[in-house]
Amino acid sequence: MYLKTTYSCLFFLLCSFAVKAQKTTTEISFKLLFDNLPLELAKQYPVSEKDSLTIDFLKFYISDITFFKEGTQVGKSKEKHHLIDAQNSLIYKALCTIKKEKFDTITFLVGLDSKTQEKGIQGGVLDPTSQMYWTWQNGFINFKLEGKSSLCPTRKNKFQFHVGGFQKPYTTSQEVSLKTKGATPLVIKVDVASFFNAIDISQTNTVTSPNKNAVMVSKVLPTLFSVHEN
Amino acid sequence: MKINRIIIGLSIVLTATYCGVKKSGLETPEYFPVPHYNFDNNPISKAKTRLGSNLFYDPLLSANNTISCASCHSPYAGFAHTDHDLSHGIYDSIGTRNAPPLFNLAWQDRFMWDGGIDNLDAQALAPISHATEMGSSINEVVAKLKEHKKYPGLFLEIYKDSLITGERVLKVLAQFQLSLISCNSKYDQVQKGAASYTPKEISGYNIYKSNCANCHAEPLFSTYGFANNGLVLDSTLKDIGRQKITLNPKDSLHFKIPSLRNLNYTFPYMHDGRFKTLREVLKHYTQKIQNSTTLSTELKNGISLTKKQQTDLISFLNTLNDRDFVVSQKHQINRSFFINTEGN
Repeated sequence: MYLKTTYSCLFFLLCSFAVKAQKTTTEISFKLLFDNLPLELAKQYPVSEKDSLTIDFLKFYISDITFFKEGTQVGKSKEKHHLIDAQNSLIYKALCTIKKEKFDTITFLVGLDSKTQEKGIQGGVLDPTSQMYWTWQNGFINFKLEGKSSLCPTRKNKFQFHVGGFQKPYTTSQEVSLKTKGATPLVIKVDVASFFNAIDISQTNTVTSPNKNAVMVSKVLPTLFSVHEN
Repeated sequence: MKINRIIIGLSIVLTATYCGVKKSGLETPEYFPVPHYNFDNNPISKAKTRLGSNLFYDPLLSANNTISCASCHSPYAGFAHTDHDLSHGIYDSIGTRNAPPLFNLAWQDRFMWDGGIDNLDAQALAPISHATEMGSSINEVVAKLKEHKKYPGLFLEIYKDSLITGERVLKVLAQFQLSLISCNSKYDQVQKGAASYTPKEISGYNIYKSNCANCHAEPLFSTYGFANNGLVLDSTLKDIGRQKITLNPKDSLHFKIPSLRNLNYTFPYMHDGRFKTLREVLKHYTQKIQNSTTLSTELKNGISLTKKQQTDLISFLNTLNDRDFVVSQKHQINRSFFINTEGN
């Protein structure tokens, strides 16, 4: 009886070692770019012959980084929530645990899921001092982009995108799914120029609460992300 | 053997039930409903409540150290701002709404007159950062607390590390506000069988039950829902209420239904403090309801009350004033904490 128990314990232990041995910890990086070159805050980027724009602030959440092979989940990031802040660093690294086989797809959420949103005030990267929690209404801002452009007919030519909202009909977190050859370490490019290719900031330049415009802008966000593969 | 098991099982169930009642850590009467607040996210402790009280009374929360939460939410006013129609803030600025009283907050699921915030922990971010209230930010508050003579020590005592975060500041502030429970008015005494109504009060109670109770339901004296109670839009404020948050035209002119408790201390009334007396409020409900598509169905046919009925109703409403609550030392400023903290 005791021997049997010991053997089964041993078996389990071996099994768990075997499973562990198959897993590996790897880093995936998010690289902030503008037109395929490292993003520079406060730099004047020409957008036409006479107009230009500068980006002063870029901060956004990424959640639930998950890896798949042929539709089966093979790994995920260690932390659920990631806050990417251009003022901190142009390259953000997330530690992930992946089974030791090639994956073909990576998915993540730009923003936070509604469960996290509903929970309200939390710590870590979700602490309200991250300046991503709204003050006059509910919830976290998923994606925050601020700057100036001669195209904007606003006070001091400012544009402000505080994209958030998790209650229907104005839900703004967006899923991104990218195909990859599975080489690690994986680099994800975040090209902010794509944002301005999709949004006409002479028309839409101030989005600071959950509404139709926030939803429209949020749908553009997945187009900023692509896999960097050699 | 079997009996032993039954006893163990039963005691587990009993302990669980007891903990269920005690789970909130708040002392509440039996006839109060289950609180809405999720105490699992912020378990109540005396030390945290005390720390929250110090923060509540500390003008450090404002940009120039002049305005505390208590500036507009004074204990003697049921934690509202007596005699001020609109809230007053930093640099003598005037807000756009009446500062609501703070009590029985654990039973409320949405805050602000427009319900823009559905989480008590997050609520304080609004006044802290609003330009006409405290004009600061949670980051500035955290930075000041870190440099303070006394606060880092208090955080260390409670959390076993002196780390001051936005989350901790907001959650202890919420704990103090959750401790503001008003449940010792004459009405409550009657509920507990320790007092009885006068005939006038009984008449008023019946008038209340047939005219007011749908929206101002017992025992909290509000459903804490939202409704359009037929007020004419103030042309200077142009406040459309809840529609501003939901963007849904059906919510036009909807405001949070306030409790009828402590009306004696919380005047003036309505979201913009337009009525100074209960007589004016009753005049509104009986004569001045403005019809509109979003008007509360309860008010579509108006409320008709004789002068005597109005007097009786006011007698009943007076039984909802909780003097113990407004004078209780428990909720007031801890003066010893604020001695020798100047210069911070």
